Amino acid sequence: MMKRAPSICSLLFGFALQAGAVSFNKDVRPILADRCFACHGPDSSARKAGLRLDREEFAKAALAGSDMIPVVPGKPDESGILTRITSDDREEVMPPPESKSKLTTREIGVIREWIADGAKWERHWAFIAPKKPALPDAETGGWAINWIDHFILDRLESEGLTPSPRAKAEHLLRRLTFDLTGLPPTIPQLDAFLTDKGQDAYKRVVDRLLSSPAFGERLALEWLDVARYGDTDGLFEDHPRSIYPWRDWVVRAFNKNLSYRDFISWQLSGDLHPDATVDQKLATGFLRNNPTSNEGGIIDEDYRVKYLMDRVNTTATAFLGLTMECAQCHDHKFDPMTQREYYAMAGFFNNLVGRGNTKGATAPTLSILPPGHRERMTQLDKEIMDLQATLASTPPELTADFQLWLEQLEKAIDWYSPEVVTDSRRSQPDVGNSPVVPASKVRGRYLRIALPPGKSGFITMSEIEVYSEGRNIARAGVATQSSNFSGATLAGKAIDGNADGTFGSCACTQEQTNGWWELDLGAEMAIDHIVVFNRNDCCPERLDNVSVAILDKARKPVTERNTGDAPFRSVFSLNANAPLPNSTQREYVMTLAPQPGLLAAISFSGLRPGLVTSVKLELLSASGESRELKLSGAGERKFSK
Amino acid sequence: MNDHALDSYKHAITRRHLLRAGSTGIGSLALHSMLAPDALAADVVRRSPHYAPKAKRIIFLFMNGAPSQQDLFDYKPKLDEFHGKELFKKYDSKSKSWSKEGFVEKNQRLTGMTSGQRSFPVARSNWKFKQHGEGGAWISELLPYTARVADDLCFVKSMHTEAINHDPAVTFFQTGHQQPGRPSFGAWMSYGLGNENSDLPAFCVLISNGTGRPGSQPVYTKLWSSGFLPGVHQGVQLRGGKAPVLYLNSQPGESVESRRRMIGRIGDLNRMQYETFGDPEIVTRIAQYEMAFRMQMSVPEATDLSGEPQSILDLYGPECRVPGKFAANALLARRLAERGVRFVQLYHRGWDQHGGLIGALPKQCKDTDQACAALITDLKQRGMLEDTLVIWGGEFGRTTYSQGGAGKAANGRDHHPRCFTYWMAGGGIRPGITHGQTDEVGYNIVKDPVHVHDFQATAMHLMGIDHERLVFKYQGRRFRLTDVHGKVVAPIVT
Repeated sequence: MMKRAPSICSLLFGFALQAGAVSFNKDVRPILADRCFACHGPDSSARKAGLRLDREEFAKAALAGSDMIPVVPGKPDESGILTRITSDDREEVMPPPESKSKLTTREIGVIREWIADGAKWERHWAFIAPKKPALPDAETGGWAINWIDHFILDRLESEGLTPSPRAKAEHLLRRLTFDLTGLPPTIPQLDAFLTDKGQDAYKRVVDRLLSSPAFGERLALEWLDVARYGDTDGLFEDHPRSIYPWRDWVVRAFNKNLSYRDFISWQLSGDLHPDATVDQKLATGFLRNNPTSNEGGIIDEDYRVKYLMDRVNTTATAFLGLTMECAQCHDHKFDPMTQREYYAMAGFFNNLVGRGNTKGATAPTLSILPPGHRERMTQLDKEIMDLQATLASTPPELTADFQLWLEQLEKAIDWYSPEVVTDSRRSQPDVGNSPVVPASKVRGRYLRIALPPGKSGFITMSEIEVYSEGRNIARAGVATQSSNFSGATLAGKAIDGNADGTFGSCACTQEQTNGWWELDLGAEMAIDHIVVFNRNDCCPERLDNVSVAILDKARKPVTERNTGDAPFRSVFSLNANAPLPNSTQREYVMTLAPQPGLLAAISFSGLRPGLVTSVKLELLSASGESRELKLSGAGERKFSK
Repeated sequence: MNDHALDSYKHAITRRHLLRAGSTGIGSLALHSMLAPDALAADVVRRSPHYAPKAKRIIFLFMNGAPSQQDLFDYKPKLDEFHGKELFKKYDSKSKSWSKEGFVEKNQRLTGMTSGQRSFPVARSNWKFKQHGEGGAWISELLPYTARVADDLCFVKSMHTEAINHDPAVTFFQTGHQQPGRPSFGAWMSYGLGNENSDLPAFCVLISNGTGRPGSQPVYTKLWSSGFLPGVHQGVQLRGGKAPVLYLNSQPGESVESRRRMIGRIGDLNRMQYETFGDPEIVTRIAQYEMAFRMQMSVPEATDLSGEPQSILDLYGPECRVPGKFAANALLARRLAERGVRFVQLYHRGWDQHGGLIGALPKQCKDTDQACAALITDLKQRGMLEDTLVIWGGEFGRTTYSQGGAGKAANGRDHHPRCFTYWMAGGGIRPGITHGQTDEVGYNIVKDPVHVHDFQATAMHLMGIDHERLVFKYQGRRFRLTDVHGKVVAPIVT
């Protein structure tokens, strides 16, 4: 994704000099910029001796505290800069020897000639609006076909030359076809052109080429380069990306002859137009073509800012015709641009959504579908929902079978009941016996977690607890969510009692706008506290600023809170008087004593009874010595007893 | 020197316009002869050093992924004592002071992989260290062969960089800039010094995959790009196997003569095109066609190890017979250096031990140790070490703290830009010394820091190039490999 913009300025450089007249913009400014501006240019922090040569008013005035005038129009020998650049004295000569930059004889000659000619100044070429010049009044004698020809003929005349003979039809067609489509003409096209004796033959060929799809492709090629288009990310593992619909839009824009005004304004701000069309939004792909990285360890903000800079730099190169990136770190060394102006411009792009590390999150994205696909997707979504609904209820015959199986199972096994030696539960306050507190005034049936309106993102939560009169009633409810990131992140994962924060313990939606997760408690209940456990192995910010609302049975909001900068565990207390029971965070240890005839003592520890995270097994030898075995790395398992 | 080249480049372009317009004010015949491709080709390609070089070529053994300096060279006995303790001091914002507990003030950014870690326990090295050679360099037991040539090496323990992730860090080492697009180190050397062998590229690239972490970070072709320099300076990758350079061989049934005729005629057409347009990239294209034709002969010759005596094969170890292995690439690097290749860039992947360090690091060392030492020995016995600069190192170092926190201590280390070890040998480097020093926990540099740009400036200096004078003007600015930084590290230079 390298930029390679030809420098038109330097290509034309020597030409003007040979032609006689020294031009400030073409001949002099490049020398001053290259050799002098680093210390005597726009960068105020690097400026030496208070001298600046980038602005006429300073260059032609006496230097403060001195009678030396850097540039005296018409008088090279009285001009301070000429004395300094031609000096033999190592202490005097400019640029100083330690800069390792040295003016060539030719460059000194240009400056001398320019001063002798009156040292005419010009605005920076990038800021001079192009003007349409008057046609030269050369006698064309019918030779000129369009207005460019007048300029050519005028120049030929001044050089004492006559025009070359008109190109043969074969050559003309070949040049034209390459120019407009980037392709050579086919033999049939050539034959057709050669045999077309009509007066408008040439015009018709031009019309044919302009209306061919290849015309837009040909013009798009150059714009794609300016816009640093790529089909891959460009950084780290250089993954493929799907932004080709934007490329196709550029081709269409040329083929439809979209006005340049719209071409620019859609690309920079299409999404901000009132009632923006898909094409207008798509055009902003110009700002999203930048190289991105999904390398594991990169710092989000670091790369988000890199992308921002890339947008500023590309916009400046594409639309202002000058490279601005030097001013990212300091005032520009040779173009009239300050660091302040750079960041003022950056402000325009600093509100774009999107993260630095694009792994799994290239949002915002726009899905561009072929005609009919959207309707088909809606239809398929509905089918999926209907089918899922049939899964929610269990057929009666299965329920009966299951009950039967359960009864047989419980009868068949004679569980051995070990003696409990330690049980940390016993040290916990018994919530049931705590003083009676007034019931919460907040009553509701539904708990709804929702993204801020319009924001695209995921809702990822490890666990939700809803406390009513000392009990967590969330687990008895029914959870649903707007979409499923995968079959392993269904809504119920947030009420399964596992709050350890790993992604495996989470309910998670797909990345979408207006995403939600909802819990139906079955009836209106008095709610004392809501506890939300965030994911803690990655991306906790996804739960930032999410709304947590209680709705009544008619789904009217009763109260609404917000997760703000969501920590691992957020507590929303709706009844200040009610104690908050120990929740999932507490570690619980139970040890069972060895029994006569048994060889092992077993300790369980975990987040709560029923959820065991580790098991310790001690083996006893006949002599009573014990050896500890650790069961680890197996993940969490649930034991029913 | 360079200004002259730039001026002639500009004039060539200017004259092209004169030619195309069919107009003149200058004698067009003389002009024509000045535009002969060979004359300009010399300007685009052939250069000379700024002063007498100590090294004529570089072999850069790049350990991609970043080897762990604490486990290989930067011996820190205190880590055993501190093992498991919190590395970082705690900052008290009320008293604005750091806690007594801990060893390092935590005042720098960490990568996204460990910044969320609750605990940063010191992790000792799993391996024993001993001093070797007269210089007494500390080297881990994982590198027994390297230890034997310790007196030929100069260890720089105070390397530091600015990037903390692989892509930007490797790009920084190779191009002097974290964002891609600038010319690679090898391309600059090719541009600055030209090519000594007209049958092989001046800049060759050899890649091998480590056994310690298969499938880890890729290396990218952008790392040997010529950026804005003429395309002829781009690195050429030689692969292991039957076709070291892709698309080089003639088509089945195509004779050498017919190939030669075809290249000749394409060359004629390109010369006609050049006379019309004067674009130096056409000269590059002509040169590359010619080079590719000659490489049909020179590459098989250079990569054919059948002429190497048994003693040499034994020196590099059994893997030097397996194309694409590091040992094979090291031997090939010597053969390319012998044939005048200016810059041989090796990449050995797999040094990124975030976890599984204890199992993986010995494998990475076994992949490389014997062949690295063999390369030094081999160059030395041929009298080539004195003018060949050999460089060993990765894109950054690894952390003193354990990645993954307590419990898995010493089995994973995260990226660490603040200090890491390089070794260099031959080509004007002072052998048998150690330069720079890190603190007792190997986290910060306490003496003689060497920045990436300093390293680049020093290597260029040894090649006879003043890094401040080898410039290329692009987009209105004179670009250098060392940007606007870099100082030659005088104490390590003879």
